[in-house]
Amino acid sequence: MSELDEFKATFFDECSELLIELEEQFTAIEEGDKSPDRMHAVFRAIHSVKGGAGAFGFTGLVGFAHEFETLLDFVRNDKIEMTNEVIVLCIRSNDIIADFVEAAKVGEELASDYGAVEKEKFISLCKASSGDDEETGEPVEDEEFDIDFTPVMINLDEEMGDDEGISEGWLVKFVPHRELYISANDPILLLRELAEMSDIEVKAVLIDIPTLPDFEPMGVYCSWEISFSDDSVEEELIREVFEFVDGDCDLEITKIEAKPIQEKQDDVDFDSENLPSFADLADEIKPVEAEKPAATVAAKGTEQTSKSPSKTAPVAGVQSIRVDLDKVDRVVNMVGELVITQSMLTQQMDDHLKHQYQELIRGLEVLATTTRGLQDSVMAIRAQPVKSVFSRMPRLVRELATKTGKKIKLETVGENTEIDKTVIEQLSDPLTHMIRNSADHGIESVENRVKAGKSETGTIRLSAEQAGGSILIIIEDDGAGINRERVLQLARDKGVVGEDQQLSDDQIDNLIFAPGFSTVEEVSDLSGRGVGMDVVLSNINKIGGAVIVKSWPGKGTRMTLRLPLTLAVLDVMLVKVGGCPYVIPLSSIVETIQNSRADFGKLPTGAKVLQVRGEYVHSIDLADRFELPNDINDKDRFVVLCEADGTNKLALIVDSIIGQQQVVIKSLEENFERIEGIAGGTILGDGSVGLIVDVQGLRNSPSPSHRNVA
Amino acid sequence: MRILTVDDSRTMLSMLQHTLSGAGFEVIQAEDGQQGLDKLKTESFDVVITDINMPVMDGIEFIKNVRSSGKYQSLPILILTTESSREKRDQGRAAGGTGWIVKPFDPEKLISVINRVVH
Amino acid sequence: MEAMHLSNEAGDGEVSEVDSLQLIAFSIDEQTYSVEITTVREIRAWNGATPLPNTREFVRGVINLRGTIVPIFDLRARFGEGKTEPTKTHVVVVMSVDEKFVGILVDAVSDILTVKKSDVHPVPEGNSSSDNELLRGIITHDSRMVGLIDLHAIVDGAKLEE
Repeated sequence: MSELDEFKATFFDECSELLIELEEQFTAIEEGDKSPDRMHAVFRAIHSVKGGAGAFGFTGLVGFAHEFETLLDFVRNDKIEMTNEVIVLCIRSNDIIADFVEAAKVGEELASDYGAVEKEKFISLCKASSGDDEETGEPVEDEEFDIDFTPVMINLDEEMGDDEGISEGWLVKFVPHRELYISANDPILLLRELAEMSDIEVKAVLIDIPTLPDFEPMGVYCSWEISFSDDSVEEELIREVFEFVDGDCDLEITKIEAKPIQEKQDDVDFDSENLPSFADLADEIKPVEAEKPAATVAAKGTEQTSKSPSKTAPVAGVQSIRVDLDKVDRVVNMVGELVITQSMLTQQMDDHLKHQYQELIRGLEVLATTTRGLQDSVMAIRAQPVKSVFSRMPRLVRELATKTGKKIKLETVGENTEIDKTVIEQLSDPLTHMIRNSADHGIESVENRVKAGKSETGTIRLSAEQAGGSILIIIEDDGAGINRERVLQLARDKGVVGEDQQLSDDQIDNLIFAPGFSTVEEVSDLSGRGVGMDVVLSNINKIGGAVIVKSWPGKGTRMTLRLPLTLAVLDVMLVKVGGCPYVIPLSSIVETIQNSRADFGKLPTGAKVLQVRGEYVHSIDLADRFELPNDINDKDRFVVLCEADGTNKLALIVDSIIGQQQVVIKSLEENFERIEGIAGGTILGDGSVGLIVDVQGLRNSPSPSHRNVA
Repeated sequence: MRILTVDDSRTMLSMLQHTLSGAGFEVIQAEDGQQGLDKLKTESFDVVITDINMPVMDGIEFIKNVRSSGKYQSLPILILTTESSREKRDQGRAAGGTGWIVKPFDPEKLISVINRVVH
Repeated sequence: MEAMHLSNEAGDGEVSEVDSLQLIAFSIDEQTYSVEITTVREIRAWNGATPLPNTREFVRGVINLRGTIVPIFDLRARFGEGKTEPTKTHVVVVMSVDEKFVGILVDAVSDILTVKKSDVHPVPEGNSSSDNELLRGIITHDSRMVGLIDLHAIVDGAKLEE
């Protein structure tokens, strides 16, 4: 990565944070909190985007941000009211900024008129508010104002040579004022800089120095005369040295002429046209200057009292460093391998060794604890608030509302809940899909809502919370709920459910995740794209999570995602089936039962059910299901009772249980393809590959597939 | 030589950091005026470079605060400003800013500007 | 070297890189097959594989290749000649096909060949369609027939028809 790319990466990171902040601020503003604090915050955010974009030459973005910023500057200076219309425009403009940023990121150009409509609106709003005096209040004056013009003290009476004169150098009279020292400028530095340009002679003018009784400690009594022995240095360059002290000193630059050819009274050495224009400019700026400090003071006043809950103010005293994510990932991977090595060592300690090397065992136990601690700490480094995903959803909901013609409001709760970065990355697609589903099928049209006695605006609530070793993400809507009759009918039509199979309400609700199932008759433009909720389920399963749906007819639907805190390491039970190693995620295991003690019954179809504490549980013999040889006596085998999802249990029959351990999840799809009933692979302590059982997947496709083609 | 850079833009901070440390300066960062003041309380610097638009405490306030403390009357403060915000620059100067740097800056120019205000 | 036997032109022994192929040849029973050397990443002795459930017969399972899970295909079984009973002398040729790593289980690696592209003959029509599918062509080497395997066909064929 080149340095420039690194800066760009920083810029894009920063932009996504700023966009999140803008989204939050405007949400609050939309809800009626129009405090100056927020107005300043949104101005700053756009200003920062513009600043960075300028550094990298993203002109489209700069252009749009510039006009947006101008509007926001008017707003924060109370020149334009933050009406609902303006808020809507701003929110839309955020999305446009986001598009520009994204385009810049992937190196694409957006259409040249992209955002032109909004840009026009900014300009016309600003025009309307500033009336005749258009330039007033413009925070960012047009570039032409910034000619490198430095007003100087000029003495028109003094004789000056013109270019035709034969010049031998410059005489610079430099009389610093007190202000020069107050702003921490130092004449010696300026003189030194001049000395670097050319040979100079510096003479200190000391005649103004008073006698000691009159001497003020902070008084300025000394001035200098600098003569340049030749005129190879341009006057402009000399003036530039005094750029910072302009106005804080008297500066005269005159040509030293060997032989003045002619004298001109009125010929000054710079473009005299600039003089009146500077005066105009000063006039125009004045009123603004008068207002700005007032606004700043007002903002300051509220800053101390108003506390915005969503604002994550940096806590004083917490020190942080920025680390390249690659470095963190490397540490995470190594810790993952360390965890496995550690569990491998533990695994290889048989009873004999344990007896013989007690000290070694104790050491291993300490190693296990330390490794665990190390792992937790490393994971905490990578944890990120779900905000980064949640923040994309308001825009989605707005777009969905527009497309469906429904009124939809999105509420988010718990955006600061942290999950491993890798989980977050995998979360965006399923979440998008589920929210689309809610907007498309859950929330009713305005008239239907009114008919049902509900408010016109439907609400989708997106929340995140940590529950033990998992994160729960809940998507809830107050829509019509799942139409169970239709779902069941469709499922029967598609053969997902047998004609005479009876299902509970919960089971029907969860049918929407069945492969190839979709309740929409025609594939909708929004949630369609030819994929159904089964894809959501498989994506979530892939990262070791589960989805439960619960619906209340006429009242709404709730989808709960249960996600692991991290993807890197999974706690599993290692079992053997047909001589092959399989692992079952510990989080889904309820208990293990010896086969000989298990209470099995047989259904007419031959399917086995396990009776456990009065509950009948569907059971799957993994050897049958995976078509593996089974030469172990049935009563020596084990039942692993699993919780496939919130409502359904599943009994898996395995040959033997080896033990518990941690594994790093590896993808099968990377080099092969997805296999039904298998969630992935892992490298075991002996270097062989173990397969991770996809409990929920098995539960959803209970019949063994005999698709083995010879 | 130690330089305190104050900017809420990480992009700008990292670009300053890169340029300045490349030129052999020691760079300390702060993300707003308040953080800048906190740094100044405990550490000493040869020059400060500050942005104007920042949350919590903006650059103008920051400069005023620095100048009002007796300890830092001669500390050079450079204002980061854009080509077009002359008005802000003037406010910054009025508050006691020593000079300014126009964003996006040219690394060489940046160094020469620093040399103009620091011994 | 080997290419000279195949060369029916100029006879200078030099085969330019542009129109030549370097192949790794391996045997299954009496028959020799080959793959392009550029696709081969590693050759390793057979050391077992974890069987994958509910896959086709010629999918022998997966192995751990330095932390990555790589599927192994039994080439004999793929050609419909029954499953290989592998021993320690059997080898797995790990290749990269379409950015995926796959391994094929063969009896032994026999040779490295350099041939001209023009010496790759098409598989004659009229044979079973699977021959055409699995081979990209046939080469004569030491007056023996060497089949050039179509890796894409091997990988694609592993997928279960939906």
